Amino acid sequence: MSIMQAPVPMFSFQLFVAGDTPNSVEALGNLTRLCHEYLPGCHEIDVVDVFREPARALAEGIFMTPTLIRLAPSSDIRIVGTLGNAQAMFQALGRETVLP
Amino acid sequence: MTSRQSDAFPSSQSEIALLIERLHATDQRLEELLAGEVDTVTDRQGRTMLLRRAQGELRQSELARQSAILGALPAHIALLNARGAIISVNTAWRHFGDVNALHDPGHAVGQNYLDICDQAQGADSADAHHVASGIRQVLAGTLDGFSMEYPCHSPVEQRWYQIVVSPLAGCPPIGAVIQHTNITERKQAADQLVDLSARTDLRERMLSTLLSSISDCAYIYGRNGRLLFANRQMLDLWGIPLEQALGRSHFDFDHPCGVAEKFQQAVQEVVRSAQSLSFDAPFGGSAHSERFFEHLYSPVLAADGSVEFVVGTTRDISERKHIQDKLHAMNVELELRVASRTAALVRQEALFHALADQAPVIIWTMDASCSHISYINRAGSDLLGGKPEDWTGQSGLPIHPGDVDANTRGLAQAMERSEPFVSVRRLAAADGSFRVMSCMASPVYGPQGTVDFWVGLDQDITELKEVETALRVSNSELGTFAHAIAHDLRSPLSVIGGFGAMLGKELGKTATPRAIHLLSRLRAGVLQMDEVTNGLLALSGLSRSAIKMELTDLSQMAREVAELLQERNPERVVVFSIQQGMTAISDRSMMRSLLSNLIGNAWKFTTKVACGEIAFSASFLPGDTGGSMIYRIQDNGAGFDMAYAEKLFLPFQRLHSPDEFEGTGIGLTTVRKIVERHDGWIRVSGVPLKGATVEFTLNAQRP
Repeated sequence: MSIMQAPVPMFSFQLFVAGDTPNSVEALGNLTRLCHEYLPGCHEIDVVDVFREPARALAEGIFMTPTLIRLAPSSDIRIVGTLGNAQAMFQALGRETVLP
Repeated sequence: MTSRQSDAFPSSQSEIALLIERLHATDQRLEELLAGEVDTVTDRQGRTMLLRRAQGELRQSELARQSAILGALPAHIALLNARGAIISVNTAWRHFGDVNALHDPGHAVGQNYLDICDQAQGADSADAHHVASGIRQVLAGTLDGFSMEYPCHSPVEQRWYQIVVSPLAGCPPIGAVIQHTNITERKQAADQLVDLSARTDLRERMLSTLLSSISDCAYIYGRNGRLLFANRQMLDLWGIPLEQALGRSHFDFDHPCGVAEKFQQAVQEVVRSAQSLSFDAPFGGSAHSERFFEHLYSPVLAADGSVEFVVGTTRDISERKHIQDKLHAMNVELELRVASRTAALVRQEALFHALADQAPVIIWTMDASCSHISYINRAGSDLLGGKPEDWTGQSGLPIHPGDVDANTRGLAQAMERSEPFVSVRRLAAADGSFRVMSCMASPVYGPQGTVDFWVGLDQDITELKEVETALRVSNSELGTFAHAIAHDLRSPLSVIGGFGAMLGKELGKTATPRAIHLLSRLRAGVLQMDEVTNGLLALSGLSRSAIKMELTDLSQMAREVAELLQERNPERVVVFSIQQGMTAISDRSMMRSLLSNLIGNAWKFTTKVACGEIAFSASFLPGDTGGSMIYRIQDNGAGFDMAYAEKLFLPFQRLHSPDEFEGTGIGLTTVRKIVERHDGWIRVSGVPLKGATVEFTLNAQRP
């Protein structure tokens, strides 16, 4: 138990969606499910609707929705699509390999 | 419209077709590049384009969602355009039309709702016109919304609806949403609520009236000890209106020192224990300080079992207290009286013992069954030996063996009948002799009417008995002596009489008057002497001779006596009245003697009456069930003073001098003896100069 209690870094995501469009809804569903499963208690998700806030999307250089940006721990990960790609997602969640 | 456009822009038609084709190709290529996972793309200028597939799906889902939401709503919803025409309706609207048989396959879609309302007829037309007016104002933008409730009763049920008209976007609105909601349940609930509150109000008024009509004070305190309610009696006692009393605690009243704390503690105790509590304490301020009150506090429990309120009643028990105090005083007085009575009893007992110990007779007490002696006085122990206390607990007195059986029998009979016991028995004295005792014992009854104990007196009659015996012997000897004297006197008397008669003859004609007079006095003396001796012989003979009972005709016998008397003194005028047929079983010679004596007496005492009356009669003895007769001989002669009635029967006792009436003085003694030998009784009554009455019975006890 004591090993598991090493300080867990806070994960911060930004998901850019286009209203209730099918892919956007699916991406948001996949993200929240994975975060709930693998990062319980140590994540935050900021959903940005590009129809409502086009300026923020432009500022971040978002050209497609849905697009996920990992803001923390580091901001070098961007994933476009429904977030159904497991390998890419584990990288975004800070895990190198798929757990058995 | 399409044809007009074609007419307007004929040159660009081929270009439009080309552009559409390019648009489709572009969209198709983007979908391929983005693997269908992207919804929008944005160019460098920030212009976002929704991909065609996403557009289609979005539109489909939006329509489906809105349709689902509208369809799921219970309200009947219709969408009107700006002119009031029905554009679309939801499932509930359609369902309502089907159920209520409006027979419109299109469910009014396409019709103008305002026209429908305007054309309404009948009772509901006013409501319909009002609705039309509301919709027009909403569509015109002059009203933000319109709402109205209206009844819509079907033949089988009561229904109410509410119509809500909301503008649809823009100003002025591009249309309106019409909702009809069934509010029957809400309406009924509201009605029930009104009804319920009316009943609750009634119950409160009933309770309040009830509490005001009881004579006790009633009030309610909250858990915190503050007043929530008080009835009229309570308020009258405090002298303040309810508004001022509410919310007060016990400390806010003018209670005597320490009383408010007591009440507060009582409320807390009831809240804590959830049990009722009653106690006494003064109440209602100094104006009532002399009165007493009893308080009863009871908990009112909430649903969870905790105490929510404390209900109290206060009763003025001054009257009861006053009565209790009086009762207590009476009890004290009673105790004092009991004590003084007890002292008196002790004195009386001491007095009894002192008296009993000084009495010359033996006094004893025994228990109810006469099996143990509980007390005997000094005279007892003096005669029987020992000390008085030695006899306590003994089973009885030392009775002569020959008297034990008779004594036991007599006592048993007396106990059985609870009557005094009288007997004569012999007791063994301390000196070894037997003393004859006259015993008389009586039961003493307790409060329940049962025998508590027996008290007895034993008087030593040994000497008395000896004297009595001697006297009886002497009497008997005297009787014999009298008989002998009378008998012996007869022959010398007949000699005197005989020689007197011969002397008279001898003197013959030569007798001087003086000699004749002396001779007649001699003859009279002899005759009287003869009568006395005859009487004495008859009297003494009565005691000796056997009695011979036979049927005797008393009427006949009385007539013979009367005739004899009349023959002897024919000059006398006496009226006899003798009842016919009087008979009795009796000794005939004794009855003759009796009637001779009694009728003879009557004859004798009527001598000085001009016209004598003698009556002999009989009647049934009053009060006697055996049919015994009472015989009566009455005269109207000299009579006598009743004070001397008893003396008449004693021998040789005479109420009149021999000069007045002749007689021996033993006649009535003989009569009484005869009556007694016949088991009867006799009595005489009389008034001087008014006559006498003799009454006697045969074979009948004195009543």
